[in-house]
Amino acid sequence: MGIRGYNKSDGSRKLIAAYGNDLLDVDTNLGYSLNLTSTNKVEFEVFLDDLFFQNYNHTPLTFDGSVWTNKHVTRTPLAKFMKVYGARMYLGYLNVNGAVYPSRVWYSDLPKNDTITWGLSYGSDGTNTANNNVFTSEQGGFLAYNIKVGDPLFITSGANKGQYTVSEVETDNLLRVEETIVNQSSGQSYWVGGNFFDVRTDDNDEITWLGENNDRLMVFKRNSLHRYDGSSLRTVKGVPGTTSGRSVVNLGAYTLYFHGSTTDKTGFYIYDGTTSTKISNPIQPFIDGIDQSNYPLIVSWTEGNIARAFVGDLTNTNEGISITNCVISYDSTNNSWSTDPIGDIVRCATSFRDPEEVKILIGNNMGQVLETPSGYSFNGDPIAWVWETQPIYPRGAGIMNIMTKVTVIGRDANGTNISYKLWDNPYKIDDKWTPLGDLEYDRTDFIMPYRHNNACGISFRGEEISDKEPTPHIETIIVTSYAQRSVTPEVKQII
Amino acid sequence: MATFDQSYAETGRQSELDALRAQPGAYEQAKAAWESGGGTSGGQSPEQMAQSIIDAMMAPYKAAFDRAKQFEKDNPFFFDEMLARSSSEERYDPYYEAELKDFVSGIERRRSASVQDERRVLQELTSQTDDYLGRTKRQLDQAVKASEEGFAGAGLFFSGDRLRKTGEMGVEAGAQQRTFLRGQQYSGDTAQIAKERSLADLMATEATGRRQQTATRETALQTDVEQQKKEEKARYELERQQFIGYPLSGGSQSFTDMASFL
Repeated sequence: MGIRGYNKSDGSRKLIAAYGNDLLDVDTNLGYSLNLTSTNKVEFEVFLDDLFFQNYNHTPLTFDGSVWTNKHVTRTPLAKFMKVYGARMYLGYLNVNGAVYPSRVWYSDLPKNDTITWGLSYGSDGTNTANNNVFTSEQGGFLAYNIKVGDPLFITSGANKGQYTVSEVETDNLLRVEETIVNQSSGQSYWVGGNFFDVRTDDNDEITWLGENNDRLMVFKRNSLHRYDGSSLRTVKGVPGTTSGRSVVNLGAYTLYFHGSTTDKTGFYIYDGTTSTKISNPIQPFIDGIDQSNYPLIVSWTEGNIARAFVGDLTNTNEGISITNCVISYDSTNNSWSTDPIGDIVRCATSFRDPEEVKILIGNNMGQVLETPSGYSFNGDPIAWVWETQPIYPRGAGIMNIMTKVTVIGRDANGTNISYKLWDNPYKIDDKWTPLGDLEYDRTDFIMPYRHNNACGISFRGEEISDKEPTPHIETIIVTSYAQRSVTPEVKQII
Repeated sequence: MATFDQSYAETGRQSELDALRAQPGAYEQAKAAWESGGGTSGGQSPEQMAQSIIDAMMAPYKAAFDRAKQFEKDNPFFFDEMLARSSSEERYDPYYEAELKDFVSGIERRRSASVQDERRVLQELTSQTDDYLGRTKRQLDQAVKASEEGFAGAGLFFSGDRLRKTGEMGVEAGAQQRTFLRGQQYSGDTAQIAKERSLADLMATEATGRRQQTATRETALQTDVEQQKKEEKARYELERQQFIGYPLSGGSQSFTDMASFL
């Protein structure tokens, strides 16, 4: 599954989605008969006015708005991730002629005549005579694919298996190496090229995404984060990477991403160009409720200053949290969080200018592409809306109160279900919300349950589910109470 | 009336007249006889008269000739050339052998110098090559190490760029090395060719020198032998002249020639 908006420089545009075994034009719902045989995630990237496709299985292709061809990608590694950075395209997590490199990044040569090569060739017909330095391959294309003097040649099968150094590229099918190739052999598998770098190779980890921040290529692995500036690769010290590449989004100058591992590390991080900081501590009970199986599946997108992340079902029994198909939202303007259920399982997201309006589009696991935010329902289902207050201490945290009545004054809020939690009663804080009832008027009075009204503080929660425009305003919440007794420091110490 | 000389000329006997003139007194005697007898004497015809005169004139020559024959029969001329050559060789060879020795030793000196020159050049080239290879290998190692450190510092040790850069260094160093070795090989070949040419020249010079000296020696020997032979011949002639005796013994004309004249 994958989706990408493709706006060409000539003004034409297409929304392309991967579904089933083909790539589709979402507008026409017609495919291109590509016969994709893998269920791998499909990634797209736009470069040189063409749309690039990779799924780490099928031969890479590019789309010019009409047809899929091998322009730009006649000899390219298979890759899980793509990212344009500067004047090059970068690929991450590679398969080069059958050899897998989970920590390797490959980059294209600089464009020439609006076309790129990758400085890579490979084949399975490598031939040489004994004790010679000439290596030939009919599949080579050594000049066409821009193999360079000094490039390493890796013979990956046969008696000559090993690494050699290209000393001369004579023709498309013949190159010389600096070393002597000892054994006469033919039909050798090989690859040759040097446009790559490894990111902490062989460290029990793998590349999970390529991004960009502050004019740096960001290389995410599960447990580490790296930035590359074209000539150096630096590790962002002491911060984790991401377990779900599709959770990585840029929010202004920042990059937000999810990492899932141990409890203390799991959460959303924001990278500011220097380091990453975990910013999801305020909603840690919700983070703790994310199912570990969803760690690689989290999908994020942005809506203005808000970043949203689909995290799947949330369940935190200890905290009384249970949300189906939860979307966690972070508003960067006021640094606030919200958690909301959503109707479908989101698998991918993209933005698409159509024709001038930038649309945010998400794809679900049913093969549907949905626009967000749009309307007041989710794919026809009403949208739940929840708000919570901070704890309110009518007489301070040291006075126990008998709360008798709660008055809620609001507008257009009828139907909102109100519940509460008692804080410090005096030894406990409620785990669960206790319902008071629905708002029925602009002013609604609730009589507090007699057996559950004694505490130092109280917090409220309002819930509504609707497919209408959400317009409720809560103006005032009045708690009627009287002091019962003081909670002395000595008592606190006992607690 | 014809004169005595005219009568000989008119009768085609000029040679006889010349012979008479060559013999002292014969001409006058024959002329007097011709003039007194109107060309003949004693009733003899002029031809008979002339013949008798000639016979009279030739008689001593015949006698001398006979004595010469007798001498030559008794003392045939003999000259031992082998002995003469041997004698010459004994006298000339020490000189020529010394000359040849000097010449060949000069050639050998130059030949040895050529070989030594080539050896020194090759040794120098080998030394230069060893120095160069060692130096370039150290430089390459240092450059590769510096490059690797640079890439490692940039976090790109495990990169194709590092492999390419170090590969390029190796290729460049290899190319420079091959160029240098080609130059060294050329210099070595040049030195070797120069030596071989020098040796060939020396060989040719030696061969030419030997040939010239052999020819010179042979010429000298032959000249000496001829000289010996000439001297022996003079001595023999003197003995023969003495044996033949006066008046003919003092002449320089050989009797062999005389015989042909007769």
